[in-house]
Amino acid sequence: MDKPKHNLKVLEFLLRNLVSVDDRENLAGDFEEMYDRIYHQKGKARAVFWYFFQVIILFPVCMKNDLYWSLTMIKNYLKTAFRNIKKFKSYSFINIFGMAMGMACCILIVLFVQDELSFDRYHDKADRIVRLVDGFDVKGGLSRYYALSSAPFAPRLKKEFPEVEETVRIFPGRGRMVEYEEKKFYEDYLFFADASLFKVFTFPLIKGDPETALISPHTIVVSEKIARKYFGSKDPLNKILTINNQDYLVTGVMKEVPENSHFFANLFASLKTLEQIPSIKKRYFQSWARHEFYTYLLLQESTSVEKLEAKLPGFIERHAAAQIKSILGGKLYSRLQPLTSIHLHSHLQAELEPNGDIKYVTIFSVIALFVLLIACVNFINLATARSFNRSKEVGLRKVVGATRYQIVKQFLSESLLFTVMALGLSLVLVIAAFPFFNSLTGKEIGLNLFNRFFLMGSLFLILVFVGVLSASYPAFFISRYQPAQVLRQHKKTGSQSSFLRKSLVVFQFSISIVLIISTVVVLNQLDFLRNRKLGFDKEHVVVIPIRSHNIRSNAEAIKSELMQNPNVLSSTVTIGVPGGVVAGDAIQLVTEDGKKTLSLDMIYTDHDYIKTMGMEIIEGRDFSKQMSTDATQAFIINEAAVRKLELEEPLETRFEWGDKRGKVIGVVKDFQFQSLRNEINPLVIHVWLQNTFVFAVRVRPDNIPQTLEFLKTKWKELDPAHPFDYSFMDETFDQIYKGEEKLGQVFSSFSFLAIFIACLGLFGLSIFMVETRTKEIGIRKILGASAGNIMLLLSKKFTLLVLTANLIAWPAAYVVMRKWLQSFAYRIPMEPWIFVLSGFIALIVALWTISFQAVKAAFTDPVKTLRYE
Amino acid sequence: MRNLTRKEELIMLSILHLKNKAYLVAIADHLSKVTKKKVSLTSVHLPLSRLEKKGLIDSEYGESTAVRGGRRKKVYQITRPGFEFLDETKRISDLLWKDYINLIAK
Repeated sequence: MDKPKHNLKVLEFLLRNLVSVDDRENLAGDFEEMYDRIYHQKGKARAVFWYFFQVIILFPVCMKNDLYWSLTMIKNYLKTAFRNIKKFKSYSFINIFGMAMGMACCILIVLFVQDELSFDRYHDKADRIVRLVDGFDVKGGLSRYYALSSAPFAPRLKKEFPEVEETVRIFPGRGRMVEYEEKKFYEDYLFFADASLFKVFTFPLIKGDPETALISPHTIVVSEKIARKYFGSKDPLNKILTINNQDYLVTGVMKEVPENSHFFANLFASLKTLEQIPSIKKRYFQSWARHEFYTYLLLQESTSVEKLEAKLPGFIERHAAAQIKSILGGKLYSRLQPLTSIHLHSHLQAELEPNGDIKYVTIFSVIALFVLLIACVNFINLATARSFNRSKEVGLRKVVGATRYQIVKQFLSESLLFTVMALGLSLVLVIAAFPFFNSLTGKEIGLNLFNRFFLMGSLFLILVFVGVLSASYPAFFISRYQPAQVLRQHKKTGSQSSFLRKSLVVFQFSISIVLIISTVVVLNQLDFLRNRKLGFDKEHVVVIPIRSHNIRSNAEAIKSELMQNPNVLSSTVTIGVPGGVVAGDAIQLVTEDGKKTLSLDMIYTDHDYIKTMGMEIIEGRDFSKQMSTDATQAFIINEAAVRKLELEEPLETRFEWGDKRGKVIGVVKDFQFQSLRNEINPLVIHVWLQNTFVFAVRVRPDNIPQTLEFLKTKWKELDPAHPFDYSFMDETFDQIYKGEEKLGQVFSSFSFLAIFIACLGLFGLSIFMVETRTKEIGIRKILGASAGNIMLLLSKKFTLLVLTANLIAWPAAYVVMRKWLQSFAYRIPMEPWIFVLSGFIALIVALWTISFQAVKAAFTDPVKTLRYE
Repeated sequence: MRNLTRKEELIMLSILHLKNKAYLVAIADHLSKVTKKKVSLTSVHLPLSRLEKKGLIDSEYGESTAVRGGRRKKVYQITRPGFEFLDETKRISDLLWKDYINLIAK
């Protein structure tokens, strides 16, 4: 019989893997014989089909068989693993605890990232909502981008572009006093909004009709909490709320706006209320040049944002350009921002709330991943280091027939067991760390997140990632043992992998050192920012918001009255204090070649601003009440303005601002009126009381409580309608650095964690090292080595490793931190001491960790270690 | 006494008939010859392993042939308990089959 040529390799392979080992040989033979027969009788196709069919019907039976045996083996693996955990308690503790910490970090970061990414996604139409923002370009090359737009845009866009399905404009009415019967509160989250608000955004109404709620003037929708606050258990609908002495009818109650929104609101009044007032309508609603509104567009399905954006310049040209040129003297650009990208990607002027930053999301994630890696490295190191302990077990398993694949499987399941235990512990840690984490991130992440799919998925991924990664090397390494070798010889084989172990320790410490360096740099930079000469004295200034026009118009009288108190040094009314609000407005610079329109930062104030803030005039003079022209014809500029506008003789410079025509009378030394991230912008200060919002009082450092009491009683007389509230300028100013401060805290906590976990691993390794060298140490001691010699011997190796880690960490940290520092206009230099100090800290901590074991070994009685053979 | 299925009984008897040539393909062939029906390998393989587990038959590896790709045969034979079992089965069957012709003739 001639042998048919067949290519059944695949099928045969399948068959072989399906059938249990003892049956494999002959069954394959049987199958082939049968195949052969069919081949000769009915041809190849039938034969192949037959073979294939046989394999298929074998599946269920064999799978069952296979599963049964692997379960039995897994049971055995688990038993061995548990015995090992019990036998080597300190190793197991180090492994599980270190990994649990790494995982806890990861879980927290996953929660944080999830929360950051979820911003504004709860809106049903989130994908189709965009925000219209305006960039403003002035000829001088000074450009600015605002999160705002002017009022006529929205209705006109809707009319002209079919892509725009709906629009809504929002106008912030923050800090207004809301009254109902006896209850009076300032509400910071009051907004005026178009009636279409509920068509664009998903703010579900519990009571009232979303279609009509905000259509008429003087209507308002309140959140559940606000309703409870003012009306208790009464039905809020059709009640009257008084806001700034005007009555609003409550037409709806909405659910609370979720925390993960780029702006929070709890009262929405109808924008019609403002629009129906003729003077406001003319000034705000018909002007293309007043950028005061947050405009959101709901686009039709499958509208391309880019294409729509490309049509905007033409639109502006048609409607707005002329007016803007004449009023503001520049060019307007509009952009569209997808709603879901606002929180992480938008950092414009006048954002509704400070946004998150995608940079921090990335930094956090990378750090968490590194901490997790350090924990995995611990596992790998300890597992390979004490592989000697397992070599006999593996040898024996191989002798009785375990394949290498089975050994790998065993170690995988063992590490998965560790990981599961670590995961359980890490959940406990996460719950414990929650309050701290929430205060660090300023979020309100709750445990209810635990039932979210995303988190469960990530937990599972972390589990598998850590388990497989930690097991991979040990499994590969240990499974390679030749049974004859390990069973015969008694000496350890663990040293083979010592190069890998060393490199991994170097890796761990490099990461730790990079984190330490980053911490030092961030904290230093922060300190530098805080203590930098700000150009004004931020201490001991009480800032009181002006709520009543009465105070504004009687400012001079009130100021002199306050000065009666010896604890009040000086006071001023102004648009805002440094770190607070600054105006930006167009102003005309009069030169020989004519007038040039510029858009500059501007502070409206009275005569005493510079004195009260403790600023320094470096050229010319301060405003003075003796000079009657100062209120109407004088400007003060800062050094930056002199530089940027290239004024050769600043005191001869003439400006025109509206009806005001005048000369620069003084140059103030640069002071930091915005975040230190930015360079100081050119600034114009002039006397103009209409747009002043705060009353700033410089007080004597002593007796502050009495002074505050005095201010409070005075204020009650002056403005009885409004409760007195105040803040200290230094506190508000420091708020600017919240982001950086947070980063500093994150870095220090994570670098602490990283080095802690790395040291846990080091501790485990030092236990191992001392264990394997007990006899050597005993002999050395007998031959006359001192305790110091022994300690040196044991620490030398690790010292070298940490020093090597420094060499890797320094350049890496240098590159990363230089990049970070570049985002600051004013920054510290990267001095060598930072690097040396960080390396030194790491070394000290490492040596301290090893010293526990080294000291123990050095002082052990050699008789004890050498007595038994 | 443990029970055998009809199939198992037939397989055991085939093994007996095939003497020392009783391996999977041969058994299946023999069965299909006797029953005049197609008998698949898998339908024989499972009862065979069951019988082996029960200890009624055992197996050893026989010679290999080229047509089997050089792989050895697994040749089955009946064990002592197997023979006892067959004896018992035959005794019962004989008792029950006794006078079959007369019985159906009535």
